[in-house]
Amino acid sequence: MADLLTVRHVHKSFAGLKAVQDISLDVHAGAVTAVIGPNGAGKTTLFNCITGVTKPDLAEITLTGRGGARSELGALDVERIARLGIARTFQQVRLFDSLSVIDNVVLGGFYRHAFGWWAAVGDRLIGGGRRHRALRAAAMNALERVALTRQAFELAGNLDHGNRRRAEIARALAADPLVLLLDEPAAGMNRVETDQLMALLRDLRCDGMGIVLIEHDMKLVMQVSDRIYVMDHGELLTSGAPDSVAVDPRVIEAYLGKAAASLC
Amino acid sequence: MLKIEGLVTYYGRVRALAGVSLQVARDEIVTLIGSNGAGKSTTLMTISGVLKPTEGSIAFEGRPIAGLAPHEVARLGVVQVPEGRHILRGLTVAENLDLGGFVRSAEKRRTSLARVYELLPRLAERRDQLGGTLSGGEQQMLAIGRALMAQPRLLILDEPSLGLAPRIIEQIFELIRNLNKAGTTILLVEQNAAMALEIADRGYVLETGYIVAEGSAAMLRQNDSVRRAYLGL
Amino acid sequence: MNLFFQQLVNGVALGGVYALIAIGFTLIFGVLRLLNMAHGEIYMLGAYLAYLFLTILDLPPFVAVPLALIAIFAISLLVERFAFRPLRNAPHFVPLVSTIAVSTILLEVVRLAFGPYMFGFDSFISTTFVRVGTISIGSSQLMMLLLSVVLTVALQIFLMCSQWGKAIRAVSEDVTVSGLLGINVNRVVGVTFAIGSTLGAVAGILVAMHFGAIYPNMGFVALVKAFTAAILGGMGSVPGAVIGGLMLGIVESLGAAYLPSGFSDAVPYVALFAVLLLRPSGLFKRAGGSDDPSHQGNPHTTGGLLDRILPQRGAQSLAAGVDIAKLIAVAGVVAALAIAPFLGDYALRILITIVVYAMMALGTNVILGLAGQLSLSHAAFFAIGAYSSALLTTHYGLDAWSAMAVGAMLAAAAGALISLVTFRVRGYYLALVTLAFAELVRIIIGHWNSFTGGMMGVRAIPAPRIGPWVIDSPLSFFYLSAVIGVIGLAVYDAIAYSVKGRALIALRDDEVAASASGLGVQRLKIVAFTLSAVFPAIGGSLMAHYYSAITPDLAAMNETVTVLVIAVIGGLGSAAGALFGSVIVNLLPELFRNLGDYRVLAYGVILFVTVLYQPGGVFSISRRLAWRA
Repeated sequence: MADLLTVRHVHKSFAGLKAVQDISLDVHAGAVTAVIGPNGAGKTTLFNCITGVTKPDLAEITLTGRGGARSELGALDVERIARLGIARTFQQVRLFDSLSVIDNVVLGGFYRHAFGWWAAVGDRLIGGGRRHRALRAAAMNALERVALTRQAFELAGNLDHGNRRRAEIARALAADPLVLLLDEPAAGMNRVETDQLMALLRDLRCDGMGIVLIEHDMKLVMQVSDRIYVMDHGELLTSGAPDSVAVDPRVIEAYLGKAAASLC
Repeated sequence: MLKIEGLVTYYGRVRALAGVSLQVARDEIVTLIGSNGAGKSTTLMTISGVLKPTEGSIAFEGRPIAGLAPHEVARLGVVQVPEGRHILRGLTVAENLDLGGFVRSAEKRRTSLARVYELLPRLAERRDQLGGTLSGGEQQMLAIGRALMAQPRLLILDEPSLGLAPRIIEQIFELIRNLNKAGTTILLVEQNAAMALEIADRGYVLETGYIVAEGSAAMLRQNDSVRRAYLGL
Repeated sequence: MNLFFQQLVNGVALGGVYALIAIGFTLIFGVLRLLNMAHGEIYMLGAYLAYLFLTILDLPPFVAVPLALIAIFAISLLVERFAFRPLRNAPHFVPLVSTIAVSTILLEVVRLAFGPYMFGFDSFISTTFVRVGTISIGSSQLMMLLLSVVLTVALQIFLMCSQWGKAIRAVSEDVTVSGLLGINVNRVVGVTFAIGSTLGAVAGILVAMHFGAIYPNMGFVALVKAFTAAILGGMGSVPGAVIGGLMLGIVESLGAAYLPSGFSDAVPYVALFAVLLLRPSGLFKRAGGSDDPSHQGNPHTTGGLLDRILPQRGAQSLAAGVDIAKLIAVAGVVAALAIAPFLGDYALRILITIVVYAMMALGTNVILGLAGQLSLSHAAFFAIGAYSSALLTTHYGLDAWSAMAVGAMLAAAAGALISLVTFRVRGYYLALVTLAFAELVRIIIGHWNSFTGGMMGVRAIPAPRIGPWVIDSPLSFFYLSAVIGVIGLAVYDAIAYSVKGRALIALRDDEVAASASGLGVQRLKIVAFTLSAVFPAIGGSLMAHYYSAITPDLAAMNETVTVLVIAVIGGLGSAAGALFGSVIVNLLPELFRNLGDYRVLAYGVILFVTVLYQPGGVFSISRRLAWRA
């Protein structure tokens, strides 16, 4: 298991509130790394720091790219980080609602194609749209992985909740990322959809993708994760294999309150 | 006191509630638990009139309130403390509290204010500070205090423990319990299911827009699927 | 030195009035998160109503002025109720277009009722001067200063101490919570709107008294000044608006004394650009303050930017079907080409105008329809194209085609330059910055007499040639513009349906998600602005050659409004829509010829009704969203 992404000492405060304090974690290729903790623990802020959506106050985040090239992400902006091979989904799904699902997915992987304005407009104007068809065919593959081909030509804004999550995952997959960050992918999904998601995550892990998962659905987390990091109030409480985390009394207390600890 | 039947609400184009029915009786603490995205906040926002249901009915003390504007619902005594507290950051603590009793006479506001300060002495100390300068716990106290200024008959709390330290959470829950003992009916949405079930009389479990389980708090605590999904056991 | 202090005094008095206008503007922005483009017309209307009651009905001032203000209060309550409230949750440019419609309607009503000319406005207080040393202060100046101080202080006390004032502040911070607290948000918004408008009207009356004249167009200048002052002080802040107003008044008075005549008009615009580029949140706003121009108040209203603009459900079912609009457009173009030889010169002129405006609307489609940036500089690009053609062919002997190309490139450069502003400001701010840019271009063109011919414009622009043929007959010129127009429509359509066009839409829908998908957001914006400048520039170039004489009016605000009307009526983002919109806007006045002077009013009403009831545009039902195969 190669070290794909090493995250060291991330700090982030918002107006005095310490949202993330000294968080470090490792993401390995072909493994699922889960980040859990109560709402407001700083998990999404950590994602935002890794992907550049929020600038961390302090952090050393290093990505080992294809061919072993190492990049320090701290100083890069969102698009540069995305182009290095880090794709993500959002806690509140952020699709391009007025585009069709397939267009969403095409745009997710578009940066990988050297396809400028002249080429794009020219292909439409006089090229008969050949190159566009090729883009779309590639996007269909990503839609197949999440079983959403039937809805390819629907407007993203018209999808129901579970399908919106899947479309967003497909958009991220279209980028063929090294690291995939999923922020509560199962939220709002029913049991069947969650099971399909679990199967997809296992597939992706087999493909060698490094997956980071924020999730509240404990069943899902316990079944797919290789390593779990537990956050509370911006700090790392503990980390370890699912079995050891599940029985850690500190985790149960922080995550579920004293009351739950007494319930055990 | 509050009776909801077959509530369907769309959030944008997404159906967030798919026929939710629940009841709250006078003097109860009822909790609504479920994972993120299950529709808990949507339910509360529909009760408060911020979102309009496409189907179903909401009755408060026998009077239909679905479709009323938020201020009309609030004036009937259904007062919500929204998720994330929503303190008016540019107004002082005292002004925030004062606005809580917006529809009541100046005299009644004064008595309520004295009561809130007595209940939450922290707020009295900070009465002239801007709302935005308070700590998270203090802001939650202020949000609850502001709701109390309206003398609610039904107090709706959306994730009061969100982002707070365990010690503060204990205080907030203690406060909720005391308010209930003093005669305020409470509808509580919590992610912290264990704690919510600890203080509640009854509970409902919401999942992707449906109520999937309901019953006494003690019963839900023993329910296997609830234990696995929400108590992490 | 004496001049300096005299101008300082003048500036402070003027600044007090600017502060009043700006306070009203900023109050309305606070509760509605809306730049009220009709604020200038309310200001103008206040002055006209005072004139009506004072001079025409001959009422005593202490009756007439309060009566005018009460009337303004009532009118603005109605405006808020019927023009803005129904659009409260619509994407931000929809209510903005609605304010433009209201502004047009009010302006036209006044123009029709009173005539377009300037009236003398008799001051109802005696004109005396107080002398302090060598500086003289007029009684109207004193009154301006006194009233603005009194009203500002009174307003501040009202906002800080009264229950209503607290409610106003609560609503401007957080609409949802205000409702949950039992505040009747609609009523608070309505009353705040009326108070802000009334303050604007007071300013209008004061200015009318001071300068002794009123005219229908006085509102637009006031609007730009209100916006500049409000921005200077930090949008949404009442004390900020006061300081901003005073600074603006002083700078402008000093500019009038020390700058060449005419160019002092440019001072507020230059100040506006400087502030927006250096300190977009205003000069005085504390760091970390909430200066997000988006309406953070209500997270529970339905989201998507285009919820109202794009009729989603209708579009979905047609995604794979036949594009009716495009078929109609092609049929229409073919028909026009076929019957053109049988048309008279007048009809051909209308057809050429249709092409020119369709080109302009394509620019709006790129920037607003696709990229979702509300840019209002199109008249400036139009003028840049027209003047490049005019000057290069008359002064420098270039042929028409090279001139057109140079004009397009200059406009593209200007567009790219403006796009740099978008990295600092967005949404509402962008709208007025770009509008101010157009105004700046108009002022420069209008006053640079030695180069542009000033207000007289450029004459004797030669007709274009193709080989040995001179395209100077209306018929041949129509065919030429039709060819260019069809190419423009086809290119736009290719852009819109290309993956790059889709990327622009993605940017509009969700900028964060777009950049997290690796799309180069800033580069996309630069290209969008650049492209959006090219289409109107070519339209302007055609216009210059066709009329063979042009004036700075090309860059006027109403051109931009007309184009916006065309794009919105036709359906934002669609090539066929630009053509339909242009046909409607240019043909309707012909159909309404017997309406005579009421034509522009009819425009305003049509725009208003469109925005309110069919925001997707008249032909929006035929919109396709998926790529064609």
